[in-house]
Amino acid sequence: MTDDPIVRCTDLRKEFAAVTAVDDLTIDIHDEFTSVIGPNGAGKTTTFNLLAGTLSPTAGRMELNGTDVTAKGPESRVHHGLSRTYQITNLFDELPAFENVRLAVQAVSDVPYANVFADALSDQEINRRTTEILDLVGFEEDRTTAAENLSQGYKRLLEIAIALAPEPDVLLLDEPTAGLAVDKKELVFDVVGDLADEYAVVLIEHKLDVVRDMSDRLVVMHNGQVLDSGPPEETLSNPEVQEAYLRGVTS
Amino acid sequence: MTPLSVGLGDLATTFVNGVSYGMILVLVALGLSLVFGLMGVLNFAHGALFMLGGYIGLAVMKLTGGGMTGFALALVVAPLAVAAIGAGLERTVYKPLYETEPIYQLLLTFGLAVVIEEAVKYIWGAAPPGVPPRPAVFDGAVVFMGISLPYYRVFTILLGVAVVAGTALFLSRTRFGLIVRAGVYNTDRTATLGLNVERAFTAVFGLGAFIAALGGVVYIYRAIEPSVGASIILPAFIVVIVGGLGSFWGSVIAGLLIGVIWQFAAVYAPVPAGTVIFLVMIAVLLLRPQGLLGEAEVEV
Amino acid sequence: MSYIERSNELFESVKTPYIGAALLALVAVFPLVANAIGGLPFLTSIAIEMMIFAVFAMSFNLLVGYTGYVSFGHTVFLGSGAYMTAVLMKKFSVPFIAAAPAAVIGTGLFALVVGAIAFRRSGVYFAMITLGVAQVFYTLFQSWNYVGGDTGIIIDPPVVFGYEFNPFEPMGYYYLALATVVVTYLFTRYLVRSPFGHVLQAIRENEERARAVGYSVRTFKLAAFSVSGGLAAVSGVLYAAYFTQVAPGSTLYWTTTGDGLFMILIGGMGTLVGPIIGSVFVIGTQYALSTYLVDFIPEGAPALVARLPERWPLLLGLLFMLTVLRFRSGIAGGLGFSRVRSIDDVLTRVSGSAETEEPTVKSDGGDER
Repeated sequence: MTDDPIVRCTDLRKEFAAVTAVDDLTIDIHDEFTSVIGPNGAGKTTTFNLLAGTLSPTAGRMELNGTDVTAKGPESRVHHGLSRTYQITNLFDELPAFENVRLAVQAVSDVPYANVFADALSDQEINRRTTEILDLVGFEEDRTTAAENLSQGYKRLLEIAIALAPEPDVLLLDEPTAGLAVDKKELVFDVVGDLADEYAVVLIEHKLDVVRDMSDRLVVMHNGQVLDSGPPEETLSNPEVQEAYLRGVTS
Repeated sequence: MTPLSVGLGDLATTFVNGVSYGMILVLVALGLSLVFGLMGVLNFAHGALFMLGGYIGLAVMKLTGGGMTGFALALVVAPLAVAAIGAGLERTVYKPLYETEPIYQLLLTFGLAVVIEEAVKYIWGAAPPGVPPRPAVFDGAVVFMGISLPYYRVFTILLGVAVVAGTALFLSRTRFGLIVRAGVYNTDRTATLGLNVERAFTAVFGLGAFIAALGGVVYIYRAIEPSVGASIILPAFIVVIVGGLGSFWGSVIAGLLIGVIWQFAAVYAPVPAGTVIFLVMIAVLLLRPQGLLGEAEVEV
Repeated sequence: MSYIERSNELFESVKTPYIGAALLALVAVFPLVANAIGGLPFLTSIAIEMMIFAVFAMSFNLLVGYTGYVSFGHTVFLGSGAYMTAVLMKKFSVPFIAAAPAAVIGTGLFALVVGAIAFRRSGVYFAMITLGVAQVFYTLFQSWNYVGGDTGIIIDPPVVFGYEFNPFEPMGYYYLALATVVVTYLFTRYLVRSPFGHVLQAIRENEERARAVGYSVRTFKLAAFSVSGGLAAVSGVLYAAYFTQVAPGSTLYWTTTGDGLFMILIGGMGTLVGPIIGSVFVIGTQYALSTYLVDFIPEGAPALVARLPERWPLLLGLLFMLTVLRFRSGIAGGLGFSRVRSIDDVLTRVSGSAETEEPTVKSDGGDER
């Protein structure tokens, strides 16, 4: 682990009308496996949206690999090394699975957009890279299948594959197993576990037991604030965490 | 009379004309706004329902021999008929679209507008129809502080006030109104509350069509013709956007405002009134996209 | 099922460039045939109108079908192209050959400005802003004497390199329009298969995700809007040259946008050939009903029967609604054209060993299934 964090958030805040969804979030993300946990409405997804640039913060500052990206949108943050998945699958529905990932690879490749006579599908480097990523996540379904016609499990894998395309420094995974049957959950978590070796992963997860063993660090959120963060064992033994969160969830 | 007072009189007359035209816009915009608020569909065909109301009203008047009785009957029968047609369309044509992308909703309601207009041309002919003479009751004018207010304009304004008040009471005081308001707020949540959203959709669509048809009947004595639906829907859209999509009182205020701006532009502006109100709409969309009374944060 | 299967099989053979070439050849000799059966110039003039609007519909489809944005003001770019051509020719005595490209480029820039305003919003708001812009120009031009108000501008038929186009001997127009259709088709075909075109389709499918994977979607949308506007101006130039009268009611009023939507939807939104099929179908239906059906209506028929031929938009409107509700892929979809480009080739190439054979060039558009 290096000293410089990949992501540094300082007093990040998001207010919707009268509601403060995320309250003065100050957090560093290093090259490790971080899991963000907390009950529904704790501000986890809003935090993700702030990190990814989908939402712009009401106040605060965010740095990504040393660059101030506070005012930058998601399209720019991808190029600075941050990528995300969505809790509700968010794919290019009608397009083939392969094209879903290919588009994401193309987005970070050097492509002659002004040349209308170039053929998007003839860039072999992009095609090879796309294939690699699909292989990496174990996408064994027919790759010509339209994203909308895939099974839930493969939609999840495709989500992850798209997010991997830019070879991010930090990968945000928003409940990657939401809505999956138990055996499919394991499949996806296997992939996530493998990814953690190569990328800094930040995972939002509802179920604590799943991530306890995988994570290097837990960030416990409650009412839009970080209650505690640190190694899982330490965090979970914090009485405040137990009081505010565990009681409500593990019942 | 000094020139100044003549000027003021002209201004007042223009203003009253504007309010009267604005009331008709309000009658179209209310349904448009309610339907958008509840179902998220911007109904391009709403102007066609307004026009259809006028034609059905006219048919009623001709059947009953015109006069005051005919007009009064038209004011009742046409809105009921159009409400029934609107509810039927909602069940059959609109319902399959609620879950699909907005692009198809836009396209479908556009197609429906064309179909209704063409159907009216087919049944009643493409030329402007002959209209029985206006009941003599409406001839003449009230003179108020030296300003002459034609009876028919006063009647239009009063009818508009009554409809707005009635709809407002209906929405705020009845259980059905509660469902509608809850539905505008959050369709999913309303459904989980066990309220029958589907029936509310149909009813709201019918209600909107009813109000629009009422406007259409009033419009008979202005200039009813098949293309009126297409030409009224544009200012009505402007009203709904300026007032704030889905906002009831926004539509009322913006309707009157646009009506008045229209009349003043028609009299005083160097460019056509149609240009002026579209410029107003574009300005509002860019500077205050949620409209005058719309909610603060709009997902667009 | 059998219908779809059969049409797919049929299409397998249509896929070859020979069929396309044969169709083109057929269209190319059409005026000669029409002449022989005495239909010239009437049939030819209908065909020219079809081709002018095919270009308009192709330009519109780039925006609606490929980028996923419905504009209700697209006719303003047809009007812009037509008016710029007419004004340059009439008021500044610019020859057609120079006025035409100026009008196309000028409209492309104009579209860039309109897009910069309209793309600040999306969905319904976008549709209304574009409609608003078109209506502003419609109402303004109706009352602006410089451009002839309601009557518009009347120009002389263009003379190009000494060749005088003649609306009563429309051969020249016919081949000019045909060439324009072919070039526009090829251009859009290249465009939608280019990396740029693929990004547009990503925006259509899921704009949020397109941003999230790193595309500056606003730039892509603006470029698409500008190109789409410029192409619409191409149809406007043809319009001005052929009809020699440019009036607000026919080039700027929103019903022309509506006709374009009819063509795209019924023909097949988001496919390359859809707009051409749609234009031929819509204008063909219009003339078939309004010109030929009349002959079958007996003298003194009841009003409801006598009115049938004029009411062709009723039929088209119903068909349009049916298309939106049931057959979103339109006629082109029924013929086996898909709006999603096949990637079979790429997969075989990638999965094959390193030294795979050169990819076989697919013959038809990015829209074959």
